Amino acid sequence: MLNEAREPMGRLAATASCFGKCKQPKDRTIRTPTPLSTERSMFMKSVNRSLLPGVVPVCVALLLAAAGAARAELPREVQTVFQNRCLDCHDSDTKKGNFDLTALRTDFTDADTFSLWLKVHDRVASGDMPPKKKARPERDEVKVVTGWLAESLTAAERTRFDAESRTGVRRLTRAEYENTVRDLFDLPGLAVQSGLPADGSAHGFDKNSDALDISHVNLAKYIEAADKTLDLAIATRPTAPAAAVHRISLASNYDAGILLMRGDAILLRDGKLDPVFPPSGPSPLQEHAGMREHEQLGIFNRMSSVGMFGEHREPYYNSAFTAVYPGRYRLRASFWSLQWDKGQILPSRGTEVARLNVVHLPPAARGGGHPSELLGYFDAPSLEPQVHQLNVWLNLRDTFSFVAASLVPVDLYRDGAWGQKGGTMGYTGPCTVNDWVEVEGPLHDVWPPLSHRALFGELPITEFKTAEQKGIRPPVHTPNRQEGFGRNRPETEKGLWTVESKEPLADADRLLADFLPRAFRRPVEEAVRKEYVAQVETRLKAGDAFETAMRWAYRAALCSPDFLYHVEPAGRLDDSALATRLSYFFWNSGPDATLTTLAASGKLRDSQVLGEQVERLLKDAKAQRFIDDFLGQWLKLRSIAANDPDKKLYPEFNPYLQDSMVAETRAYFRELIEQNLSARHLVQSDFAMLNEKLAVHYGIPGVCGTKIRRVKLPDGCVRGGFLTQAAVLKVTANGTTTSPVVRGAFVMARLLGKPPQPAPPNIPAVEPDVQGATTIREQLEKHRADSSCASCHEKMDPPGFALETFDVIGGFRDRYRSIGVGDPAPRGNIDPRIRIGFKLGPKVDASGQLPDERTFAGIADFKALIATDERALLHNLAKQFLIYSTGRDIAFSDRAALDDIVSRTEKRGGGIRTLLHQVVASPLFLTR
Amino acid sequence: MKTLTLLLCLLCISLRAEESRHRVFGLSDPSRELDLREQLKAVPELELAALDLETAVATFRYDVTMLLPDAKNPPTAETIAKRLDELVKKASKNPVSGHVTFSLKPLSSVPEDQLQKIEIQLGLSDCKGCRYTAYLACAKLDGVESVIVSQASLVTAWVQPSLTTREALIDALKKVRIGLPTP
Amino acid sequence: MNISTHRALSRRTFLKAAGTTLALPWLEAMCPSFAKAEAAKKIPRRMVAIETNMGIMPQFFFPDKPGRDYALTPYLEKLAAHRDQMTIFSGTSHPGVTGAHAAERCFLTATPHPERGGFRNGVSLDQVAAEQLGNETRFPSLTLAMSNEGGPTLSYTRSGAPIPPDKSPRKLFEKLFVQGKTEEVAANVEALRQGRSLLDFVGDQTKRLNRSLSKSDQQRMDQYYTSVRELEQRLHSSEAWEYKPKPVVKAQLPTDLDDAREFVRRTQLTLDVVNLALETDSTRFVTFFIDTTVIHSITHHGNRPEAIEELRVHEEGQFGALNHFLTALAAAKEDGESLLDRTMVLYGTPMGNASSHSNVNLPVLLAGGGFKHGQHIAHDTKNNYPLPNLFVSMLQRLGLETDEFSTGKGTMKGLELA
Repeated sequence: MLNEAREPMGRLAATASCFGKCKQPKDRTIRTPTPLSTERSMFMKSVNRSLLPGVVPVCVALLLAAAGAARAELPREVQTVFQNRCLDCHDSDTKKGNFDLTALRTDFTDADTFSLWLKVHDRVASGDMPPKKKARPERDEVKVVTGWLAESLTAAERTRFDAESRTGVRRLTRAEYENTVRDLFDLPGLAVQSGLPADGSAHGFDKNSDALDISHVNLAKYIEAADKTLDLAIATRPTAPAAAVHRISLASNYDAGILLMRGDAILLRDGKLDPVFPPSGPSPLQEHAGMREHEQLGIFNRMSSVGMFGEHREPYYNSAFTAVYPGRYRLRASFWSLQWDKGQILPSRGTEVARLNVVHLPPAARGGGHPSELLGYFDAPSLEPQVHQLNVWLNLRDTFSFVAASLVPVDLYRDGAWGQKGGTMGYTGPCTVNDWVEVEGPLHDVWPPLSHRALFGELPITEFKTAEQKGIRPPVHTPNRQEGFGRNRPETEKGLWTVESKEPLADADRLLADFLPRAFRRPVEEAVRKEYVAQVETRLKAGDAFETAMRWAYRAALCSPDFLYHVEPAGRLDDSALATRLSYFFWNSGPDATLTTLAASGKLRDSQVLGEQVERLLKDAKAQRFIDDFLGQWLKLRSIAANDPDKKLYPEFNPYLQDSMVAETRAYFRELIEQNLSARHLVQSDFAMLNEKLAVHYGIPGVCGTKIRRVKLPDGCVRGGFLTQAAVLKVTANGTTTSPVVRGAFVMARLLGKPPQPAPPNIPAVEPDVQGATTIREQLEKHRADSSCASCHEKMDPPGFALETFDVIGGFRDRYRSIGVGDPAPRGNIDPRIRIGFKLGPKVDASGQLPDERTFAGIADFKALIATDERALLHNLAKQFLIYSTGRDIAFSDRAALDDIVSRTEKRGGGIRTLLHQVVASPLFLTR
Repeated sequence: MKTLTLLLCLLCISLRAEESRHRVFGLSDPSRELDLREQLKAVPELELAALDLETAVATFRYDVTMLLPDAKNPPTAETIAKRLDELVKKASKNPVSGHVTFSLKPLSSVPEDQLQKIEIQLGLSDCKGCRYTAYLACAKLDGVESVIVSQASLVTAWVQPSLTTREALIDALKKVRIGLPTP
Repeated sequence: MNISTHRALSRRTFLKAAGTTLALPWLEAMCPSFAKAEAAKKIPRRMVAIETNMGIMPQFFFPDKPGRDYALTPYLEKLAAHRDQMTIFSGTSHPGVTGAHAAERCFLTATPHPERGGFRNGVSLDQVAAEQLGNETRFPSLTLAMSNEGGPTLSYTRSGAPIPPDKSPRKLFEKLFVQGKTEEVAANVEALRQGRSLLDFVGDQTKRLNRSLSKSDQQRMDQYYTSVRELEQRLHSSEAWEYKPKPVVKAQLPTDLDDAREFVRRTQLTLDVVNLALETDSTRFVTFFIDTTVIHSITHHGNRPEAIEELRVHEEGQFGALNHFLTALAAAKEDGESLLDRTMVLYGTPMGNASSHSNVNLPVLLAGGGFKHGQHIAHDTKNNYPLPNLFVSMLQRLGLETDEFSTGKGTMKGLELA
């Protein structure tokens, strides 16, 4: 389920572990040896209104502390409060919740001690402790404890942060690395992320030094990635390869041939069945025979259209086209749909949806099942072809594949399958048609391309003649080849072409002076640059050609810590660090020329300029990366595909629904930012971002087509806000069942900013009853009855109960689906061709009671209740933005500044875009 | 320009024409005659004077000097046949699949009255490709002189009875998953 | 899973406790893989994973009784000599790996749903091992196949890319035992040297950078510096391999058999070369994909007796080849132990019942390697036990600190280290 367990223990991860069970080794403390005087002043502060045995010398006090007699150092008032309110349960005998207050030392420099006292502070301040059943402490008593603790904690942090920064130096995450090189070289489709090992997670995000270990494996992969990047970036021809237009038909490929022969696809021409190739009959008699013979006659090579009946097939276009030149291409595709009725072509039930993928073929690829990535979903209107156009990037050996996404898995070649006899001619159902796909490219505005110029500027590309270049090794280039089965061929290339330099060392210096600051995201000292140039010189002397020698230097730069790490000066960020922090926040990549120029001129720190830049960055298309990367972690969308819904229980689920879900949540977040909507919209709204697939799934009428658009929700609709979005509901379920505990914990941690304590060890998991006898709620009653469990569960379960209204794929339910006992289930919006194998089980009870005793009858009430505390929602979102953009958790002494951000945002209307501005303007963002 | 060349060639052919008869391999069904004629348009050196579909015997008319302009001695019948075969193959090469669908074979050494006619009714759909599959399955067998499949899926084959039988043809069809309709 | 995180973490912890930074000689002593004294203590362990893709008939493989007293079935009879050195597993499969033949890609990766469009495979077991331990031999791993079609393979990189297999026993033999041409060696050495000089350079950059960092940041940057040094060491050993002459073996260069139907003999040929490779410590991680597509049609026997008979002959032949391989490993000695004791040999198929295309109840056996063998571990055939747990056990046997692999979150229940 939730992968919390993956987090390596961060320095303050102790806050997440149960009292007294801190397992991380003590040596994780970054201990700064403080001079005795500082310690003394610390001690003096902690003894503020001291009537204490304060005359005890520090060393003795420390010794006593070490020996566990911490009581001696607590201020008397604090001790009194503890004695009256806490020690009944939390002394060394009773140790309720395994917490012995008497054993806590007062050495706030120790990380474990610090985090325990932090917990004490928070629980006392929030009123959680003493527990409800006990008598309430006086306000003064609370102030005594929290006051003393606040000062102690702040002082300890101040000392720590004097010696080290809050944000630890960290390397680029995988996504950051890929975006950075893509932008540096203008190679939007360069694929290097998947070759890098996975990053960890700390405080919910990977942008944190605790999450970003590095090993020799990482380094080896970085070297590979650098080579891959340079291979793609360097031009090896004097002129651009000519842009060719290939109009390709699905029919002329092996996969479609098989489907046509079997009757899972039909051949069409001019809107009618292709007369040369009738639909396949039921096997064995009228099934087409001899696919090879059909190919030999050229029956499939006549640019006929192909209609598909099932969604689960993914035929490739690789025989017709496999890319030989990496680069930008313009793609056009023509789709339409029809209703097939036993051989007749009729208007279709509506607009069907076609999906195109980019398929990445490995070398010597055979068969299918190769990695493929979504290119897009396209409307296929009834009977009238619609031509779509989009720009794509293709790498070597890329090709396409087609999926009839809005249909259901249907096999027609087995007689009798899906309840009809007679194969294709006996079938009635929708069919999605692809007329052709057109690939135009590679498209080059300039030659040599920007990627090459980033490395070699305007130096000419000339032919390398080995005879004339004595003693110089020619650069090694791989010729462009058709490595797939595509019929498209590269141009014949003659000769070896490479960049020429008449003054290699001067050019090297000049080129590196341009490249290194851009790559390292800050000015580079001349001495450093000279080291790189010296390496180039060494390589030149060893007989390398200029290109090869420079390549050495570039590869080294891409593997150096200056590139791989975010290097920020301590304290107030300088301009380059600020520009970098900004661009990795909103673009997940290095700063562009505008930001760099502003930084160089010292203008960036001006609040107006800063605000303008935030606006500029948010308006750019690259801001989508922020939305994807942030939501991927904050709302766990990265694990959208972690679980597969059980096929029997949720037969209507398919990849199209899953992709639509993710698109919805991303579009919604984008809308909140673009319209500067308030934090209330995190949980409640009168609109949603939907396409037809989602609208049908949610039972909302009137939406047609695959594009996501803003839809006003009908009155009384339960949807609206993140909590009712299918993607969020899916990542908080396990594919078969939902758990109120998991979902409740998610709501508390991710939206309300109040993460619950982890479960005590040795609590057995609750096994949900899929047979339909008992509901999960009934099963949970038993362990919530125990008061020690209840303290957490009374907070955690209620949101989960409200969300029981939705199943594992985010569909609305008032009764649970079951495979065992139950009543027959009505079809609802599920496609008529999908077999309903599940039944309706017990009723869903989505009512509950919040810890403050307000009750709710269902999800709508619940949303209304939590929407009232807008400040809490805003506060948590601010915190998430800060953790994400600064690469560290919120320290105790940061809390005031965080509250300030929230207040300032509220004063200015409370919108989320405003919040982003306030975050950037805050000292928490502007200092390391 | 092309039409002019064609006319000239035809003129030349008719002036100094020679003829010979060959077996065409690839005439799987009647519609293939049109394909052959269409494809032969690209070979002005030949003229298809006559064609018997059932026996797949074609009469070609040509001018030998145009056919084999570089020949030093008067070419033999075999050389001519080889050249004709080359031209027909080239003309029938599918530009996309690269496959050759027509070629020429010598006529049978066995006199025609000793050949046996075999008819097999299949249950194929009206598909040119399937007829081609059935055709190839039979035509490749030893002893099969000619095969043609009608639009109604009737296979008509002329065979040397000593080399092959009806059962052998049915077996070959089964191997490519073409079955006979059940009565 | 993230093995690298695990190892780095413990090192990092240790570094912090010691409180030192950038003490280079001390760091070298810290690297366990390269300290000579340590290496002598470490036993080299090997892993050979074999998959036959069209399945085998389960009724002739699975014993009835669990435990040590099971009666040998016809196929296991062929391995009788090694009964005490092998464990049979029943009732296991890879969670979520379905799709009939598509599952053959996931035998060593256990990535679910290979039949879906857009499927991206995960890293295979042998590559995980090779990543960590492969540098100790000339070849970090060998990916082999016996097939006439393209490149079906058991090995996949971290990014899901299939590693093309070597299919020719003859070429494999040449690769292992015939000296490379001087230019090839020179080119390889040059590439390695350039890699090392790059690492040297970036190491220097780190030193410079560190001067401006705080103490705690320096400690973090240490991790990078350590990685640089470690990789340098690895490239150094790889370069050393280029100069070492390849081992001399008495065996003859094998002749490849082209006939697809001869797959038993071809299997045997390949396994003979694998045996030589292991004996000469040319590699320690081998995968071998046996593609029997040529007899695909009879694997769908439909219970016809003549098809079953024919299939059985082929399958018994495979077990014969496997037996031959195990015997050769058992006979070879290293430091007083048999090579079989130090080599885990995994044999299995991606389909529990090829005739019905079922992907559960996979026939799997593990021989050698240093486990307490001699038993039939029978899990629940209705509710299968996760097979990737066996892979976790295997990784732990190699000395890697991990408790997960793909969907396996623990070791194989019932299987103990010897």
